[in-house]
Amino acid sequence: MILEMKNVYKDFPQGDFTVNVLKHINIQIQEGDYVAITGPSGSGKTTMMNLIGCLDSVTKGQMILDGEDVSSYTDNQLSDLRLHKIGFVFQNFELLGQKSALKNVCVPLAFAGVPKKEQYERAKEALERVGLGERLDFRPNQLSGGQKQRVAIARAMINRPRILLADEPTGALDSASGKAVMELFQQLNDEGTTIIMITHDADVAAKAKRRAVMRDGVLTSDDPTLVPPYEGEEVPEDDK
Amino acid sequence: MRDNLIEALQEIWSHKMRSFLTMLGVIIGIASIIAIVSTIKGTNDQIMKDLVGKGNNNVSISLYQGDYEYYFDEEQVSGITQTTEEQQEEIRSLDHVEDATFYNFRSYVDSLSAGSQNLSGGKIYGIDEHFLNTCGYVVYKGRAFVEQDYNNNNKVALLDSTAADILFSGENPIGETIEISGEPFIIVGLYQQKTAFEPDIQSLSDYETYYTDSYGTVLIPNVDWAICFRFDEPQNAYVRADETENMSDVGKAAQKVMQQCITATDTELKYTAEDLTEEAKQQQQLSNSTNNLLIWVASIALLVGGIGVMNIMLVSVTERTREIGLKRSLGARRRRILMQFLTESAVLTSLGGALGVVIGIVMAKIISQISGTPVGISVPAILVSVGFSMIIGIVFGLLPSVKAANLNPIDALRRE
Ligand SMILES: Nc1ncnc2c1ncn2[C@@H]1O[C@H](COP(=O)(O)OP(=O)(O)OP(=O)(O)O)[C@@H](O)[C@H]1O
Ligand SMILES: [Mg+2]
Repeated sequence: MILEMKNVYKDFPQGDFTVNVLKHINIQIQEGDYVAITGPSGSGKTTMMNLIGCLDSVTKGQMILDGEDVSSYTDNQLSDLRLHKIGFVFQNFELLGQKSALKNVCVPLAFAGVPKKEQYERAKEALERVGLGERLDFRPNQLSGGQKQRVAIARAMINRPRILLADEPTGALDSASGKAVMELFQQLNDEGTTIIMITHDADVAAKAKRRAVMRDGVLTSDDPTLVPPYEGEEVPEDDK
Repeated sequence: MRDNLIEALQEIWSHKMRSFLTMLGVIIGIASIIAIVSTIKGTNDQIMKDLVGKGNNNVSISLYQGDYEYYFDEEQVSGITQTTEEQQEEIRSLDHVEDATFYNFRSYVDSLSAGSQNLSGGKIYGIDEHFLNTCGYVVYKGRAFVEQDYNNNNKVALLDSTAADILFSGENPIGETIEISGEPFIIVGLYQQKTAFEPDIQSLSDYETYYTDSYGTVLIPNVDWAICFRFDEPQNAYVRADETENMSDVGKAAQKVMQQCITATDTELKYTAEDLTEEAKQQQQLSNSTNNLLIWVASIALLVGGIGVMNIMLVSVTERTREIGLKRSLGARRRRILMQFLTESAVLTSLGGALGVVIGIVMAKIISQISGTPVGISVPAILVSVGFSMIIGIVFGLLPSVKAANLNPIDALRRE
């Protein structure tokens, strides 16, 4: 099991009161899984994704990543986990506008202390794999949305992470570009990368092996091996 | 680190106008400091050069009676002996002493003539073999005194060009005879300053300092002094120091040795080293203290500049929140973000400092054109200025950088 969340809660203090965004989240994800999470806007999908991506820590409960309980990790340890084990893909790409495609892909390599020459070689190879071998020196504003997202995927995968996290990866793309991104995901999953993807699009979700739904901070699924049934007390009325 | 530097330069370059305006405070501060320091240094160098160095770091040690230099005439000086060979050698072997000469001296001598020409008001020195070297003179025509001249009490003389002009009006004086106190001396050579020292004449007193020897000077071997003047006359000395800053110490040490020649206890006689360095230092102090005030004012400009840098860096952190969030999500540690912004701020102010140095030097040159003060470029001051601007960048960049490093990555990514 590469990721397990046990009874995870997430609150955001909001002035005098707190917002209970996630409630008793249970999920078990195996190595090589391809999971789609759907659900209405504001239900807490991104919040959960941030927890999995070690960008935020749980309020209550346990999160076990690759056999390690990361709930009490320090900021530096979490940074290193993000660097080596997790790749992020965002809806709006998040490329650095001043840098070329190649330099954007080099960023995580530089963080990992890879020598300059090797950075360029590996980044070039990664961009060739996503079909952008001809666009190495293009800036983000010279690339189409689909191309930008492929640069972002190359960057996410450059340190060979175990898990790829994607938050609405096709949300800003036309259907053709979206399809190309989904094909890329399929290919990465076939090679063994675990993928967790948030999407609004039922067609996109259908591409995943398994699916779960988030509603008002509660995660459910038809698949009990993915989301085990909740066994604790009922959620108090005022938490809803 | 190198990556940080390159990235910082790119960032600064991509906001040229803003970067320049941010640097302006630092530029103005550093430029004023450099302009002031260059002017001080120029003035001080000039004071040292005018007053002290005169090209050869010579300290003169002369006999004083009370507050006035002793005026040698035909009267017997009592209570004082000549310096001995041992004392002379002792002075020559003092630390920082390059050479020393012991001489007899008369000024305003009337009894100096060649034929019908009289050298009235001229000076005459009875010199040892160290005189020319110590004072930095060379014989440019004819020959200097040699050992035989001293051994045989040869009556020979050297003239400076002024004396030669007055006595022989342009004709070759070598081999001619002059009379000193009625004794005939053969002129064997003409001497002059080794390196032509060009004094900067700006006032009447400068003029007097440099042109007191416009009456002409004659040198004769000290062994002949008794023939023309008196036996066993006490000597004065010139001592040459290796460096201008050692002149004071050398003068004091030599003066102490010479003091041993004064045997009488109830006398006003004493040897005094002419301490021009002390005088120069006092003058320099004056110019320093007025300008230190100006440096404080310039420092306030620097402080204001630093606050401007902090302000813009805070804006920059806010603008680049998403970039920070992204980098953190890709695995950058806090420290990396901190260093990125600190480097940017330090590079920004260092560039400002370097620009300020250039402008400051130009300003100093302009000031010197207008007010006539000389410019002295001080390399340490330049290095300190650039270093100091860098420190300003680090100090005032710290708050914004810490703020950037402590941004919560999810908040940073959520920011629109
Ligand atoms: N830092 C925060 N502080 C306060 N409330 C927050 C914070 N982050 C998220 N929330 C709240 O948590 C809820 C879930 O937000 P989240 O971004 O996880 O939704 P989502 O399911 O990703 O929605 P969408 O599909 O629109 O992206 C929202 O009501 C939001 O207001
Ligand atoms: Mg979301």
